[in-house]
Amino acid sequence: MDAIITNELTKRFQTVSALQGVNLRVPEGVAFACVGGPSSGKTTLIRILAGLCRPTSGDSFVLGISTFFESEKLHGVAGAVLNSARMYDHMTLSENLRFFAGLNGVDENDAIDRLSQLLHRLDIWEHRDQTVDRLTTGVRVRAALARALMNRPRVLLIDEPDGGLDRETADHMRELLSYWVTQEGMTVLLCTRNMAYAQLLGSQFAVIHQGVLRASGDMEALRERAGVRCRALLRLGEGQQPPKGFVRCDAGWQKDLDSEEELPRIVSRAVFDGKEIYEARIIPPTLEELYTALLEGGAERIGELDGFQEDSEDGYKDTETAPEDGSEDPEEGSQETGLF
Amino acid sequence: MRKDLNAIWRRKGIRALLMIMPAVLVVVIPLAYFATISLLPVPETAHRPEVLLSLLSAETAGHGYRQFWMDAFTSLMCPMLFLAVPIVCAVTSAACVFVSEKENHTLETLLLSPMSSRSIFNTKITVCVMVTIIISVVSFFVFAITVSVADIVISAPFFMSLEWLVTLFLLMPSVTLFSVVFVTLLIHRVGSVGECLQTVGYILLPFLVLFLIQFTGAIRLNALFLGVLSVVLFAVSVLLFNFSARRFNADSLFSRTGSI
Repeated sequence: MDAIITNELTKRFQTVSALQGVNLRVPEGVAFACVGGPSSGKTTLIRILAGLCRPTSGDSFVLGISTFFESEKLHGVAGAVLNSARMYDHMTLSENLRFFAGLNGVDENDAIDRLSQLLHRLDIWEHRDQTVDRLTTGVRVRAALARALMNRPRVLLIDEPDGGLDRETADHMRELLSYWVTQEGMTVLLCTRNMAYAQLLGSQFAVIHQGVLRASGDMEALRERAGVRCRALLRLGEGQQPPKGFVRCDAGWQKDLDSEEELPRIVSRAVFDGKEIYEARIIPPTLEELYTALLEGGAERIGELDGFQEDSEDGYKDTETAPEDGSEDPEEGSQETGLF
Repeated sequence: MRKDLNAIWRRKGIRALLMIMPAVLVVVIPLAYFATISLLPVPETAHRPEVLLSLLSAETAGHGYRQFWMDAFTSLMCPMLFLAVPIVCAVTSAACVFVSEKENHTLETLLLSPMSSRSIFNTKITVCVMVTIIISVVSFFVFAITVSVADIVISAPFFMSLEWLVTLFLLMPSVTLFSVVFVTLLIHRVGSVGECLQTVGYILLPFLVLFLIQFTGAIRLNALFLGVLSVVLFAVSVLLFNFSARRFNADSLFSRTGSI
């Protein structure tokens, strides 16, 4: 079942189009990361899903609840961490959490238990009696997460803090969210521009750019959509020439693969040819690489480029490839060794 | 509700304003006036303005010069000073409870709770009206004691009248509700508590003009007039309350083109 569904979601602010026909499906019980650059529509998406903003057209549902028309019901099952939703500066962290737990109908004793559990897990227990205006930015971010989790929401919506996340906060958040997703089946939707963090936290992703959803799915689906290939990395013995198609990189020699199954064949052939292989591994593309590729046109554009390369014979492709076994003519080597 | 009351009480500036302003309006000014008319010599040729005399009760005509001016002050000027108390308190408390929450980004967090925006709105209005009425009633009793003592000292007629009763029980609550609702209409536009407090003038000015016009002799704000004014003001407040309550939702409060 999908925890979050948006249908042709569009939002316009006067002349600015923040979202354009976004159709998103977030399965229940997964950590889903929506990535995009500045002003890509991430915050608007989160605000609409949190019931704080009315879409210009289209509709959105969280656990089957209309996010705008049933916002009170929505807030009973979904928590939200937004930059613009803060806690009371003059109250202590503990007072804030108990106050918001009370608003969410959490029993006083349960609230104290929950507060203790969350603050310990987020490593901010020692700040519980400090007023919020005295907390550091990182602690505030974690406190906001604790506030959103006080009523045990089934869906958690997170908009990345304006200033990004410091390492410690990011680690604590990731650890806590991973626990809740795996142990309690909570669905997390994180909107961020930090691709590395999104990749660490999420198992499924969406790429949004200028209000348009470019792609969504797991890494493999994005990779196919982006037309980006996995790479093989080989570390060879001193002075040894790499198989054909490999180019020099910091860690050794690398080459784009059509599929992962290609690597064992490359390795066995290289070993057969007497090469000393110290390391051979597949390097999948990072989310950032996929994001860049998707913004540049994705698989369609790659297809066009491939077509261009085939048409232009070998002159374009061979400029950076290593010669086969020291052979000066890579084409000749290719004919001899097949794969290489 | 307790959180909103704390929010008003915890801010030193707001607390001082809610305590000092009423004290100045209903104690300091009447005492200063009383001291002035008691201490200044009365010239033998001094006579009471006929226009003002016609506005006061027949009982006043039989009193002396100082008693006349004390009665004129308590009957014509003091209701205006007293009504300034609910206006200032209502605008201040509403600014603190509504605008300050919006300014500090806590209103959005409240709206993320399962409470309906309507019930959040109603609760905040209730707090503001309650605080204002309590302060106004306390102010009235302090004012009554101050003026009564002054009346006794200079043997002026007792200040309490039907007009005062209408002002206290009908006009003051209506003015309070109107002032609070007026601020809620502005929360979409104003960006800070200070900016909001400037709107006190918009509400205060019509009442100031209304009461000062009496000194021209053109009108007399009698009990009937004040009663009708109270009812009209209450009806307008209820209409504006419903209008404002409908606009009190996250989409309308936080619609912006900033971060998208």
